[in-house]
Amino acid sequence: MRRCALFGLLLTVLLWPPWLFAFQVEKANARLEHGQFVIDVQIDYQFSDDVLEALANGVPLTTEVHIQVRRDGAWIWEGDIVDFRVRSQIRYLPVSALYQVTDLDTAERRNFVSRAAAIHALGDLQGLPVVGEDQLEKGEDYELKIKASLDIEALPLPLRPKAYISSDWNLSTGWTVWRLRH
Amino acid sequence: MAFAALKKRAKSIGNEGLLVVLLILLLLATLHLMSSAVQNSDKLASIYKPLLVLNVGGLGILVGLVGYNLWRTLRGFRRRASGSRLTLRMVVIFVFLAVAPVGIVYYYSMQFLLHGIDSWFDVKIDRAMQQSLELSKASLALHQRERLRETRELMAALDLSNASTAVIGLGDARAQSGATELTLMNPDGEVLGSSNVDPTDLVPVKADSVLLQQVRQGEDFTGLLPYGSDAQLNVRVLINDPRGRKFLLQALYPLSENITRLSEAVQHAVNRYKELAYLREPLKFSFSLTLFLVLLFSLFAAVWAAFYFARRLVAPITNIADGTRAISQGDYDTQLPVPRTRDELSFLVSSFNAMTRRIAQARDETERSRAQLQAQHAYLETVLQQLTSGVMTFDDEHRLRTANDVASKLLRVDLRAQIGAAFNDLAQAGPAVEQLLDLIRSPLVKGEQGWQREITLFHPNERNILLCRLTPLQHVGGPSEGHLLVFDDITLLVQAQRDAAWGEVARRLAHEIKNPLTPIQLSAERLRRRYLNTMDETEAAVLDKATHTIVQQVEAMKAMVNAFSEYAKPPRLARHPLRVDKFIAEVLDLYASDREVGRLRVDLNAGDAEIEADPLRIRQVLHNLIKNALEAVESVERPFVGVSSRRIERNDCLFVEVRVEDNGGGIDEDQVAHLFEPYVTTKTKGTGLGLAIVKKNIEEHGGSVWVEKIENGARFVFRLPLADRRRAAEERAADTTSAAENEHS
Repeated sequence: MRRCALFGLLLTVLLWPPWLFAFQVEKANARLEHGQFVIDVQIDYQFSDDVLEALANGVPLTTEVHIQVRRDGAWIWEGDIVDFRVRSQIRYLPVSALYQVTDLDTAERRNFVSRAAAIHALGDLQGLPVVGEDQLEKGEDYELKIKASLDIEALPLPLRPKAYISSDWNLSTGWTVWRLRH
Repeated sequence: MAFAALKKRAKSIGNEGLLVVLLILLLLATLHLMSSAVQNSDKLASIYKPLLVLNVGGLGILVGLVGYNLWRTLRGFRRRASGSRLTLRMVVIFVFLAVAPVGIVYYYSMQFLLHGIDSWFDVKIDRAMQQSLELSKASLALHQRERLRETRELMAALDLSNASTAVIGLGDARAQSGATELTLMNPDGEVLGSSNVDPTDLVPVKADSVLLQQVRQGEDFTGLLPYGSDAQLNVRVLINDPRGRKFLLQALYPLSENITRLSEAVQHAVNRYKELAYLREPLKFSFSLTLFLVLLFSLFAAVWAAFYFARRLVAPITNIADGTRAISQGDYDTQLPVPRTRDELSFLVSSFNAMTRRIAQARDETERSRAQLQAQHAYLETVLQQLTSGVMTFDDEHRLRTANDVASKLLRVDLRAQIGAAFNDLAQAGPAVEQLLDLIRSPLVKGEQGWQREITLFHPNERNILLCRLTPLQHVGGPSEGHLLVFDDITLLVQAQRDAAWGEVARRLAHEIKNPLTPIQLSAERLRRRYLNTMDETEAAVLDKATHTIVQQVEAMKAMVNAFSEYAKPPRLARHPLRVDKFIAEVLDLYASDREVGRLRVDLNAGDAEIEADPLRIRQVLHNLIKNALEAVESVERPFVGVSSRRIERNDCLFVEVRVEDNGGGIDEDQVAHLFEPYVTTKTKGTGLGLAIVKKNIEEHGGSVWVEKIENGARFVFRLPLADRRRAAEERAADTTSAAENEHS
């Protein structure tokens, strides 16, 4: 970690009150590694009973973490500096009685004997590279926006009509904004 | 009702139809795609949400259209708009015909669908799947127990006195046991040493905190774990040291490929079945939703189509109803848009249009005829008004139909106000009318042909002699349409005839009387000269008186004969330009004494107005009038005779007007009409020819003369036209030539 780069997440601004959302971004830390800002994010996925029942019945659940970096006070027509999504999937394997967490971008799989451990692992994003140091201007403030949600479009099609209109399935953290200073 | 409005209405129906057909086609396509997506099409599943939104949105538009059509039809129904009842009735019938079969199909489709889905999940299959899962688990559990025992033996045999011997021992134990990986760790899960069948795999499988907690509590763990790049199923064992040392050993033992494959197949099948079983209700919901959307789409499309076709079918009938109403209100120019289809409605509308065209043509023809009739009537009216004869027509019930202004003027009654009056009522309009109607009553009733009669009408100041002709009005061979009465004022004609008769009498009298007068006078004078001196004084006095009387009376008779002769003289005028005022002044010089005593007052204002006239005749006129006036004022206390002249313009013609007035008591009413007739006089002396000569002279000069009553007297007025120099010269030349010819003859 280089000392020349002073950075940190100074302030957490929640656009919406957290109690309105089933998912919570519990913490987020950023650090500079080899000219790259990486973040450690812990998301608490509080799945509803309906969702957990679907998981127990072999329905794979896909979560999506949407990450954006924008200049603080940017005009509406200014583009995002960074805009990407991290998709993961959790599924239950009945023969081995394992919960399997798969990173859909890297296809890396991890297996857990308990559901709690698997869900915790699902929300644990460590060392996620976000933006290059050279993409940010020194002394400028930036907004790091994170939103984690259950991807309804990845559900089996018969489940979707109900999921579109049911609050048990519309699970999200809402947009949480973190201020990032370089 | 304008043709453009009807055409616009038809076009709007067509446009709406095209738009909705496009919408329905779009909805059909999206419903088909949605149905395919529900039936497990992965490609279409990704656009399921847009399809759903599109369908619901399109359905919303369709519902809106149906609602709008319903509202419009109900509004028309409430307002009793033409065609609204028929439209509503047809819509109800169409909707009933559409809803009933669609509802039945929907009900049975739902029944088949729900029962079909339920039939996929048989209890036996469910039990078989569960049992195969249990079987797999039991088979694998056997392997797990075996590997647990082996691992405990390996752990017990390991020399853990120091790290290096422990690591070497791990390698040997792994090779001996056939394990994929052996990992030695402390109770906190920290790896102390590891041996893997793949020397390049340096990161051992980590135990999560939950698992470590379980093992630390003394409960050894066995389980399955997909491992390696090919995810081969391994038996995972995590145990405490049976010898009580504070170490944990994790071992991974590969299962045979066959077991792995079978286990995965079972797992996949069970997983799939459980998922399907779980998705049974959502699947029913999805299918039901899709079918329900199809039902709604069919229903609303059918209802809209019912509105559309009802309106389309009713539109020509509505147009015909509106058109009929327009015709009943007098609008014969109504043309309806003809439907494109060649059916009975099209024929009906075409026939209606042809009918309105013919009615409009007939109306135009009638209008033209009426206009021609009015023009002819106006023309006849103009002709009637320009006639110098009075004209009256009576219908076959003897009611007055028409009368011209001359008739009103001659009868002194406004006959236009009496148009339509019955014969007896008309007689009350005035005495002259009554007199005339009494005269024609009998021939009118009898229907006499060619009836003609003279009638003298007496008015307060004059009398008129009318020549009346009554003719029945009848078309050839047709019924009687009334009578035509034409009457002319022949007063002047009679007067002229009378004047001419008088002139002839005068001429003959003058001729017959004048001849013996001179011998009588000469004889009387001879008697006097011869015997006056021979007689005694007494007889001489008698002779003198007698001969004097004879001579005097002969002179008087000569004067009278000369006057008659003058009156009867043919109109031969010696016209010369006369300046009226100057000429009057010369004449009035003879009455200087009267002017001096103030009896005669002169006021000449004609200026340099000039007339073409015979000076002798005009002088005679002036003398006659002034002399009459002076004689009239002889017995008046304050006698006054005025002579004045002025220049006036009447009907674009210039005249000189000369007035001679007096305060000599005036003229009686009954004498006014005959004052200018010969031998009519109010004086004890005179021939009675003075005013007749005045009138004759003035009329021969193209002028007019009349008498007016004024306060305590009378006023004689004559007008003469101002000279037209060029025409006067021509007339003078003609007169001169004529005179020369007469003299020559």
